[in-house]
Amino acid sequence: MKSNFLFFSFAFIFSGLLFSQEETPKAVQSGHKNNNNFKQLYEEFSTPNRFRTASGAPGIDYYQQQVDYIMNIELDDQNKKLYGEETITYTNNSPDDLAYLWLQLDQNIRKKDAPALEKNTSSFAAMEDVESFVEETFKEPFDGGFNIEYVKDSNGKPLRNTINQTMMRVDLPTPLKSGQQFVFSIKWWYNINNHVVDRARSGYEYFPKDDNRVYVIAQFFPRLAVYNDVEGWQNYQFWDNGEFALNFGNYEVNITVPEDHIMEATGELQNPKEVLSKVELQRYKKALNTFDKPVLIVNQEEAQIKEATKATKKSTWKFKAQNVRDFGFATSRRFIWDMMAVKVGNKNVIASSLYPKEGNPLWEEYSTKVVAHTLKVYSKYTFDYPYPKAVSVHSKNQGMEYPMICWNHGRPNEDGTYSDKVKYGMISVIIHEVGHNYFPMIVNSDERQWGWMDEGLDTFVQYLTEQEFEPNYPSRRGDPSKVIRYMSGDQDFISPIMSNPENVFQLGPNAYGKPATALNILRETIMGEELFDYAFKTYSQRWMFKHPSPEDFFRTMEDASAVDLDWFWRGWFYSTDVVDIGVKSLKRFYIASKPNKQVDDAVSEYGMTSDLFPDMVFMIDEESESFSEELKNNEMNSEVLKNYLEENKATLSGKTLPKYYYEIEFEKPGGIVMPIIVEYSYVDGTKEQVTYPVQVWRKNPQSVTKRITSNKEIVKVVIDPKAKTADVNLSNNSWPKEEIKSDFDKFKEAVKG
Amino acid sequence: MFKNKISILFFLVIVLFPLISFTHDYYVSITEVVYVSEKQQLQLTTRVFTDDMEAYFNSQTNETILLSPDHNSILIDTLVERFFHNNFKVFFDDNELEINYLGRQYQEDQMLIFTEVTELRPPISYEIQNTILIPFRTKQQNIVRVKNNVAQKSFLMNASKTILNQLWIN
Repeated sequence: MKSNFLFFSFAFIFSGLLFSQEETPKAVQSGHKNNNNFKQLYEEFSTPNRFRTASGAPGIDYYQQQVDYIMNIELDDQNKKLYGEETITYTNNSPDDLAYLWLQLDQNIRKKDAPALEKNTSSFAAMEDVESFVEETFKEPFDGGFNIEYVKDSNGKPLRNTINQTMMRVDLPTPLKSGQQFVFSIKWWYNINNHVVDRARSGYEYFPKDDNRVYVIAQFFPRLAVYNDVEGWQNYQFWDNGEFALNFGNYEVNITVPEDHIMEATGELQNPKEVLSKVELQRYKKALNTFDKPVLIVNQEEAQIKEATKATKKSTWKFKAQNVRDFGFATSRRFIWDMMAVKVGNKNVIASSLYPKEGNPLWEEYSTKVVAHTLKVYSKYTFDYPYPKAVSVHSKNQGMEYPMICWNHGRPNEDGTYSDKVKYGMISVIIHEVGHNYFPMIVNSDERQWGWMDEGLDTFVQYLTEQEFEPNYPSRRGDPSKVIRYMSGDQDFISPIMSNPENVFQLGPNAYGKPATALNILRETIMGEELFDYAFKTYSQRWMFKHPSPEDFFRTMEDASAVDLDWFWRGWFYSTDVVDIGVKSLKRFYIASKPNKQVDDAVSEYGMTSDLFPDMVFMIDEESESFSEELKNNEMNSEVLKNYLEENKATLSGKTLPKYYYEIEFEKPGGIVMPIIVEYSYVDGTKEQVTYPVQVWRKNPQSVTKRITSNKEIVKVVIDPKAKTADVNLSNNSWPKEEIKSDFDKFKEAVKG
Repeated sequence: MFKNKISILFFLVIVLFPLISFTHDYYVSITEVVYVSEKQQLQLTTRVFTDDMEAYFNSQTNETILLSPDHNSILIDTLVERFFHNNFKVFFDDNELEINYLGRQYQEDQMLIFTEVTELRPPISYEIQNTILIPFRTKQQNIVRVKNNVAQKSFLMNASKTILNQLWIN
């Protein structure tokens, strides 16, 4: 079987050619660890256990604590003080016995001697305007922080407690056993801060013209820290930047304010008859059943009249909330109040807005409608909104979320005019803050450790919600092209999403923009909408009313879709790598009747000649030295091929040889692996888009070659033509190479022309 | 509980996050200074947040200044040109460069300011004085990126560092 022997020996020689290089003695190379882009995240993830499964779902032993509050609160409007008294029922659902409980005293960052006041570096600037200098030098610290009057057990006996800045440890008389409850009470008061002057998430805004305040009150009570299987006690101080880790529970809160105040809060109002006037009550009842547009319960005229009154009598608003992780309320005599009903699933949910007249005309027109829209869209992607209501409160310079209520900025000019920026800024912040009901109020992640888990996920669904609100909505975040500037910026000033460096710069893009964009890319380009939406919904529903960790999210997205995503999380969440994929070359090949010189030379080394070859098809690329112009003219250069096709005509059922043979090489200067989206343009004007799966990079992360045949000549190749991958460098995205102009060049050209 | 040293490290550090969930509460400008040797030109592109510029201009006058859309484009051109000349200076080998203002452009929530210096040879050392929005914004950070076709270097300037002295990049 001479031809077989020849075939095998040829194959042996030729395969040797492919792999052997010049043999020169090398120094011993040092080894390396598994750096493959597709390495699974075993080393980064915790070992799955009975609390959280490998699937990313709550495990068979998953537990969470429950903390219920009964509170009586009084707001002293004149003296800007808040008085409170609470009875806390702590249920220990963990398998562990607890010797103490930790509570969070967030107001304590405003204590005169709070370390948080000194947490930042400060220096003398080369120059400072005189007003700032005087203010800084003569500043009187605000007398904030909780003044705790007592901490008592259910029998009235004082409980030993230790305050460490914003955390208080309550030592239990006997350890609280697994499954048991502990009931205790706390009484306190504090001075309410001006949140406009001293930026804060809560406080009051003062209106000098009518000498009135608008209060947005939160973090107003000593509340339990989280104890769980991942952290033990989450007991990091509140430094005023990191947000919150909180327990689910039931709240009963009674809030006493001047009787001309209008209030909204977390939970359902239990006593509308007692706190609303006859007219207000009538409108309130009407609103509960109005679905097409908001009903004004207190209109602008009425609110304005109240500005002058300052009632001395008080009334008490009573709220009850089930299964919430926090409580916030907004109260003022300056509030305009509108409300409507929204159908979500088979339930009615109330959407309402509170705003002083300074919010109009914008707020009356948009706020409640945006709330309703948000609930509908977020429900579509996760679960039907389970709470009875969602409130949007107008608050200067704010954007902050609490269960069922949030504070939002968006104030027109005094004459009622407003720019697009103010309008869309307001709509976007309302969507974002109402969206936070889903992440983290209901899918209750630990914000202090992983800000992106609520901010990133919320910003992502916010983007989808904005795009559904209005076609071509000017979304600031979400589209891949918008994150390029951040990601391609100086590495000194960016950090991975999954890390907490000491001085995280550009936190907005880091925790909001980049994760939201990554999820968008995952949805549109990697997984596709169907697989993504199902997995995202699975995650949301697995962890609603529970406490997920980042891995639970990462695992669930894979588990529910059968799409391997470790490479994606690693590239986008665990590193600051960028996407930069380009086309290095496009080579045209021709069928030849004899092999190229390289093969000839190699074979002759073994004492053979090429005419002894068994039937082979020889390809010569146009850049090789064996290439000759006449190859271009003869379509059927290979006798061997021609004969083979003739002999096998029957089985080939009319197929003809392609006219064009190309080898395209892709390069990847950027660290992140992504699928290669390629648009081929042909000489006849037609185009074709092909996506090579990300796995093409699994063995060689620098270069991928693809063999292409075509009946039409390729005239242009573009990588990622629709800018879907956040490719930071477009100069290598085209063949033939296209020069990418900088903003400067583009501007100069425009000016010249 | 933690089988993994890296997990422990992650959980041991405090996360610092912006106060508000939404608006930009960091004050940054980025100026790219690019030396194009074929043209012997220095091309500067400065990016600032439009609302910071608007707030700054309004603080300097009783008149109401509106940007993007501009209430008075020609007036704002003058304001921006003057602002740039007063707050960004470049010296090559101790000689102050005469920077030509080319114009400006809005890109989403930012203003881009284009300026250039022509007929220029690369220096041995250079100095940049940058007081963009300083002291108007006490937390203002100004990033400066100096590039030629061989190398690039980035610097962080702020109220405590308004002057930068460097040897030319290579």
